[in-house]
Amino acid sequence: MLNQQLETAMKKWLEAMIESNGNFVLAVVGGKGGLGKTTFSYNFLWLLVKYNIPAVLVDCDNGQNSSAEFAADRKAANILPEMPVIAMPTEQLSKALPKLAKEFRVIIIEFGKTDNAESAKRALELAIKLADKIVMPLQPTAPDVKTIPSAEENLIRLNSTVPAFIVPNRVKKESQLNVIYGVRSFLKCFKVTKTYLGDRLCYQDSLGFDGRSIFELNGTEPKKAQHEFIQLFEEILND
Amino acid sequence: MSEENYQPVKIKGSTHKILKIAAAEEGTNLQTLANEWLEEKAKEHEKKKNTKKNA
Repeated sequence: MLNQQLETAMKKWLEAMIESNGNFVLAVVGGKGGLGKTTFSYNFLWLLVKYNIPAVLVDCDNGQNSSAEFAADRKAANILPEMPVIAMPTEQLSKALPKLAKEFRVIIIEFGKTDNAESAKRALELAIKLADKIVMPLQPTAPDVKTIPSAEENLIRLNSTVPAFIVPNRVKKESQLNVIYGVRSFLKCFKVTKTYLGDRLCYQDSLGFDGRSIFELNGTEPKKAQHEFIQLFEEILND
Repeated sequence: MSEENYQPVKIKGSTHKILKIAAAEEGTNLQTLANEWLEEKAKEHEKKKNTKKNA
């Protein structure tokens, strides 16, 4: 059931990408730490790699580079497929991308935590210039939701037409979503995805377990996580 | 050739965006960079094809 759903989503998306005949760039943004950028980017990459789509994750999370570390753990443990993750400072991104674009059809860029509003603005500006789609994972908590207005403001100021999604992440119960849905009517650029990711330990556990994706774990919780992630994957790619 | 006159024939979507930003960063002409990029890509593609054939 899950595989069928995924294959349909992937097929639809691949057809659209072949038609556009270019690269596809997905920017994962969010100036704050702990939003779920790595969880999202890494599992997204795994799905693409699994379906033999030449994809790479550029980890620009300066100073932290968790995705690159998880990919290295995975390589050290000889787990296949290898996860193509490259760590690089955001400043080097523009120069490095043409080379990556030759080798990989899909480029996921994980922009890192930023120290101040100015660097958050610069990262978002670059994301808008480069990406086909922008994703900002967010926990339904006041500190995370507080970051929405400035990100939204930047998208408006830069006249962004790039589809941008807020992905509710680590949701313990549905009622928590009200804190995000409360600001939804004020959003002009960001769209809140219908699918949200639950607060499941397996998201963290999988990564800590030799850099595995949630799709490589067994059990009830991982199955639920896989199901919601595939739904999210489908929603973002086919929107 | 100015950016306004640039006609991306074989380069579309995000590839175009990527090259545009790289050209601006390096201070090079977008058309020249795009031509070089396409040429190198074709060469690499050919190389991969030959490697597969010989394997």
